[in-house]
Parts: sequence; C-alpha cells; structure tokens
Amino acid sequence: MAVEHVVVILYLGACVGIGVWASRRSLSSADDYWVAGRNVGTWVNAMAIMASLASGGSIIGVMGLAYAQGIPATLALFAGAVVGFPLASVLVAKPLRRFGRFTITDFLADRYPHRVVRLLVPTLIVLSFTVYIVAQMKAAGITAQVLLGIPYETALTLATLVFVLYVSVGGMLAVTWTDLVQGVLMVLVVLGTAVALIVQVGSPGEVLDSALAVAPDLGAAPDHPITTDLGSFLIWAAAVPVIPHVVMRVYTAKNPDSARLSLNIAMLFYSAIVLAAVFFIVPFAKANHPDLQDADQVFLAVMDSEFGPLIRGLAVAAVLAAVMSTTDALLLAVSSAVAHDLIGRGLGAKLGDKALGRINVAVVWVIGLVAMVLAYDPPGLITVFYSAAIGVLGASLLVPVLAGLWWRRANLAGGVAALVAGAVVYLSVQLAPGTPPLSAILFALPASAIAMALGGFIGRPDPPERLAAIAALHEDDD
Amino acid sequence: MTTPPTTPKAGERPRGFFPMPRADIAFLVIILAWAIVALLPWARETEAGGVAMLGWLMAGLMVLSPAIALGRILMARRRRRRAHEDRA
Repeated sequence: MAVEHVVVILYLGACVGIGVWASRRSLSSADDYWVAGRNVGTWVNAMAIMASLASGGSIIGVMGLAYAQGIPATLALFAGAVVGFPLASVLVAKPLRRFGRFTITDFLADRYPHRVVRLLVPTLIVLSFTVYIVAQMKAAGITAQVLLGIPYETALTLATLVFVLYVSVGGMLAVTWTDLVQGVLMVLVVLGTAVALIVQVGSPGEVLDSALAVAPDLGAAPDHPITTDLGSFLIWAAAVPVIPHVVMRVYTAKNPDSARLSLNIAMLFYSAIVLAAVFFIVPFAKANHPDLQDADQVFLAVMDSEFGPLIRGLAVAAVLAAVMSTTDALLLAVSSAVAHDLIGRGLGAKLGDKALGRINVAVVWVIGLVAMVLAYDPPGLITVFYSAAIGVLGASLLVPVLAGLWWRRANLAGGVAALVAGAVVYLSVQLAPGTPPLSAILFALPASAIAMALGGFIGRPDPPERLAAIAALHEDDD
Repeated sequence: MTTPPTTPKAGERPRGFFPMPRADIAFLVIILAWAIVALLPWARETEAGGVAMLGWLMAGLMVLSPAIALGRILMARRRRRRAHEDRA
C-alpha cells in the first residue's frame, strides 16, 4: 500500500499547493475569484472544462452504468452531455461571453428583472448541485476504500477537507489550474488503461468480442422504457448550455472565440475518455469480473487485478482528480449562487468584495460539509442519481436562457413563467410514483416552452432598450 | 453573415428571432436529426457487431458533433483573418 499512498499524498499536496499559490491573487477582486480575471487561454480552459464535466461519474459512474445496463444505454446518457457542448458553443457562448458578469443568474436577472428569478435560480442551483456533490463524494470514498484500504468514511472526510480547502482559498484560479492537472491525469490514466488492456488481449475488436461472447447483454439495448433513454439524453443536452459551472467557464475565456473553441476541444477529450471506458475497459471487466456486486466498482476491480502499486496509485489519483475537478467547480458555482446571486442580487445586500469573499469561503465549507454528511449514507448508481438532480436545471433554465438570447418576443412574463413551469413540472413528475427514471424532463421542457410562448404572446413587451442590449450581444465581430 | 438587428419602438410588439448564421442552423438541424434517428425504436432492435445501433450512433454523435463544431469555428476564424488582411 505504501507506493499508492505516496502517489495520492503527493497529488493531494499539489492540489492544496496550487490553491495557496492562487489565493495570493484570487481574493483581490470578484473578477479574479469567480472568473480568474477573464484571462484563461483556450487549451487550459478546454482541459478545465473537460475536467469539470468529467466527474467521478465519468470514470466510476460511466463504467458502472455500462456494466449494469449495457453500452447503448450508457452512451445515450453521455452523448447528451457531449452534444450539449457544441449546442452551448453555437447558442450561448458568444452572447453570454459578451454579456460578461459572473453567473447564469446574472444574465437571467438582467433579462427578466424580477424577484422570483433572483431568488429561485440560485436556490435551484444550490439544491441540485448539493445532490451532485454527494454523488461525487461517494466516488471518492469507494475508490480510496477499495484501492487504498482506507475506511469509506475516513476517505470521504479527507477528500472533502482537501478540496474545500483549496476552493475556499484559491477561487477560480485554483480551480482552473488544478483542473488542468486533473484533466491531464484523467486522460492519461483512462486512455493508458484502455491501451494496456487492448495490448494484453490482442486487439480492440477482441476485447469487445470476448466480452460479448460471455455477456451479450453488454451490447443489447436496455430493457427500460424508451422514454428513459430519451430523457437521459435530453437532461444533459439541455443542462450543459446552462449549468453554472460550465457557464462560468465561458466567462473565464479571453474572448467569445476562445470560449467556443475550448468548449469543443474539451468535448473531444471527454468523448475519448467515455468511449475508451465503455468499449474497452468495461468489456474487459465483464469478461474477467462478471459477478461484481456493486457495478460502480468495475474500474477499481480492473485496476486492482491487472496493475501494480504505482499504476494503482495513479488510478486513485485520477479518480480523485475526476471527483475533485468537478466538485471544486460545483462548490465554486454554489458559493457564487449564494454569495453573489442570492445575498448580493436577490436580497440586495450592499457588501464589499472582502465581505463577499468571506461569505463565499463560509458557503464553500458549509455546502462541502453538508454534502459530506449526506454522502456517509451513499446513493445507488451514482450516474442516475446526479443526472436526476441536474435535470431540474435544464428543465427550468434552458428555455428562459435560449429565448432570452434569441427570441425577440421573450419578455418578463414569459421568462418568469418558463422558469417556474419548468421547475414545478420537473419536480412534480420526478417525485411522482411510477415515473420511468430520468423521464421527467420530457414533460418539463415542453411545459417551460409553452409558458414562455404564452408569456411572449400575451404579456407586455419588454422596453426597447432591453431588446437593444440583447441585439448588441449578437452583432458581428468585425 | 448576420443582418443588422432592428429594435422596435416603445409599445410595439417585437417579432421573430435574432439572426443566426445559416451554417449554425444547418449544424443544429443535423445534430437534432441524428439524435432523433438514434433514439427511434429501430436503433434499439438492430445490432451491428453485437452492439445495438443506438450505441454506435450515439458514439458517432459524441465524436462528430464537437469535431464539426470545431472545424466550423476554425474555418470562420480563418475567413475573418483573410478579410482583415484583404482590407489591410
């Protein structure tokens, strides 16, 4: 165990070190803390975006889902996330980057200036992201438990303390640079593992064929209703263009072009990780470890049986990297939702940068510790769990954001109605007994669109100057 | 590519959408059509190489959608650079 422990300790120490280094400049202004001075280069931003999205779910969860429900069902869910990024680059990246500011709430509260928007949007973000963070913590806990032999609760507590520490002191700059390190580590470990397994078996085709020979269900379409596939695809495709930790990355870019480029470069790396996991690592596990009790442990089982201590240590670091790179971005987004959106804009508190900074640090600690306590009693398949939580953001925010940017008739009445209808319908359907998993968004998105259309056609038109401000976001670059 | 946006006067009801480059519209239509085809029942029932077409089509979408978007952005950037050079 000694080598694995040393690798993990070195990695965690590096993360905290980056946080301390970044804290020297990140607390000097809100721009530096939340959007890293709006000066992050395309490749660094791309890797940070990839790392933010590639969570514990994308390593532990993607393999768990493929092992339990097969390749097609898994790709239906993860393709939604990938497609969401090109959609974001076409539909929101340029106008939102030109809009400036820090958060998605900033845009919505300016476009639809109403108290409901200022209070409801950050509240939904906090609730949804807290659930998302709990799922990430389960991934961190079981990884350290299986590969390092540390008790689940101890691993969970240690991981939480490390990433809460560097996010609270380092802000977006720390998150960006740790995400870069974590993104590179994830790509190297997952792709490296896939290549090593292919070499061991003989060829890429043989890896898949040998698994399908013993477990034909791996390639079969899932036996759940088609609405679940449709819903899981739509949840991520709808959420990615509006989820706060992705939108904040658009604001960190140097310019709109750089934002669009980094979104798409990020997705090529992300696709490579998911496809390598689903087509090579999971089939290998299915052939060699066919009876795992907890499907989320498939990657860990392969690492444990096939690789030596150094690689196992790197694998733990890579999974922790996946968890931490997403969780730190989520924590930062939650803290901005509370300190900047809810207290600053929603309640109208006049606070200086220093006071906001302190609130921000406190929020990171509170949310981190609450999620840690909830994660002591972990959920089942983590991908399904956090996808359901993220769905409420896509269902409630997508229509108001897209209509607010592109539809000239979008107005205050429509924006508020679309936001409320999306959230209420999603939560009602999701919590109703007998609803097929992940299908609530199929009802909520149309409800939100209908509410926007009714508001736009019946409600009072917005003042011309508000429309002129939106028109300016669409003007050509040259 | 885009036409200059017009702003209605006070009280006048605005109409339509802000203009989007045709290539962006085409890209969105292709992505949407691909996703619909992949999610239809036939893609669950038909298999190739032991994997349902749903899986293969989603895998293709994961690679092609960011690749095409990336190509479009780079080409647009090159066009803008050439236009600047011609003007200079």
